[in-house]
Amino acid sequence: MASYKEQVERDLDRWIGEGLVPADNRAAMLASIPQASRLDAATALAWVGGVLAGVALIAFVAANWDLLPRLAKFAMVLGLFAASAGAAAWFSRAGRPNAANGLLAFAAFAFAAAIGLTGQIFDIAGDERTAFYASGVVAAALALAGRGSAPAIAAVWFVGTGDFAAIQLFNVSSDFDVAGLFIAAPAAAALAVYWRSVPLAHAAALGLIAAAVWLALKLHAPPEGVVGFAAALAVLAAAGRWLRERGAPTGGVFYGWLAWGAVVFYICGGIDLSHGWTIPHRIGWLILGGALVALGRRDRMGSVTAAGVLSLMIGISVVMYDLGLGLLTASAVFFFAAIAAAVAGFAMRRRAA
Amino acid sequence: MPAAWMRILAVAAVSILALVAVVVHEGMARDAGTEIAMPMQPVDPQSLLSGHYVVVGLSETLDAGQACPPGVETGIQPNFDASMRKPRWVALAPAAGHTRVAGVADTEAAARRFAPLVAHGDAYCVATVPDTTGFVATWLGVDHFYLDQAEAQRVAGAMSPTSDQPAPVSAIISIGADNRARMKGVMVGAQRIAPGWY
Repeated sequence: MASYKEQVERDLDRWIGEGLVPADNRAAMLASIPQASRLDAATALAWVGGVLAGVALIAFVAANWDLLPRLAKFAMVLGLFAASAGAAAWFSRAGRPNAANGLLAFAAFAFAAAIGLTGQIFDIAGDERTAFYASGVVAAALALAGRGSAPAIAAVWFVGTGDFAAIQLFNVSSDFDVAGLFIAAPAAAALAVYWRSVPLAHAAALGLIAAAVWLALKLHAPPEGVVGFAAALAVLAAAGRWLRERGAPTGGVFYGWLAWGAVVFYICGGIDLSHGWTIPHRIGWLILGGALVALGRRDRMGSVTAAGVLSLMIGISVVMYDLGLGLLTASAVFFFAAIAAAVAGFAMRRRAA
Repeated sequence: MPAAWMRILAVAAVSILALVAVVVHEGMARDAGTEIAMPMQPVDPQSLLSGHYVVVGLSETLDAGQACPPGVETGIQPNFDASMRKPRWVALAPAAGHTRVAGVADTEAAARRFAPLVAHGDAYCVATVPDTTGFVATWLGVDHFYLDQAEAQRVAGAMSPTSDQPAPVSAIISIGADNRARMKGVMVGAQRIAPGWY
């Protein structure tokens, strides 16, 4: 596969041939593009050797795990965490943030493993949820200490897993639990915007949707409540859109994911609606799909357009086949949705003019 | 503000110290707690041993005419499923070489009216009726006990209904001052298997 520099070189020769670019500038222009670094054979072999040595060490320890004294096992578990955190600190000090970021994420997972293995080594019975939350807190602390998005993503994952792993979602509980994601996801979203980290924005947006799912399941939300969650996610998606329009690189991520979340919640809200609300819900569904297609096209957001197209396709299928409506009713539903789409399109055209 | 590398090292050090503190605290609480032994019953031999741990299923058979302890949830389900457990208080009293459930209550004070030793947990009872032997299944928050592979297999073998050398197996549990149960070991017949710190 040709590198970017090779592609530019070809295009440049063509442009020079067509008289678009002076030939004298060719060398200077190509020199301004850095050569992509490539892994040489020796480095590649060193990496392979390092990985194989690591696998050999893990296999050796696993084979002798039963023979090791408890304190030795504990020391090894803590040593792995300390070594990875120490290496992250070393790379951070050396001015290599990417390596530090990756090692901080590894350290976060090593600490989570340390919690689990410590419970096993010393037979400490504990709550699964607490273990995940503790892992999340340490991952978040490492993220803040090293300003690393990867451990922050790990923190969101740990907290979310803790929320869903141990809680009995489908049992009515007299004690109202609070999901850790209610804190972790907004905090991650704020950090993502502040650090301008797109990967963290993905994790934060998914965390926000997961928090809504958790709450809807926990509260056994009625259809109206689920549609309410859809509205809340739509508001957050609008906030993401607002950020995007102001140039925040993370805004589009929130906009896309949360729009998807809102659509899915809206659709789920209509599964078990009472008969009287079914037709308004289906009309709203079609309007929402059309609006998302228009919005996605206007904002050049492929993910939002895709959400709208998919929503429309499923919505039309549901209206035609699942509702058991007569063709006349189906025709009325499509007619009202079409009127709404036409009015909206006309209004947008007038506004653009 | 200190440099990032210093902050990372500080977080790592605090995290390690916190984990060590948990281990030391749990070990001290286990050593200082009141030791009890409760019979373990294999509910399903297939699920008894997984990896290197023994599933701790505390269960005591009820003799004919023996009633369920007061306050205990009763039913006809053959297992004390996790979804049936509630955060309650279990009163424990000595009986014939082991410890049995004296009663269950929603509060600590109410549980102490049955017996002075109480722990966080719950119990479930199936009463003895003609042709069916009842039992009291107890959950004290300890589900697994980790052992070396050979020991775990020996315990599992002793508890298996098809075992050549069956032996009564009891869980040795420490009830701490915080009313939490902590596993200390298992008793297979007359042999005590209780790994120490090392």
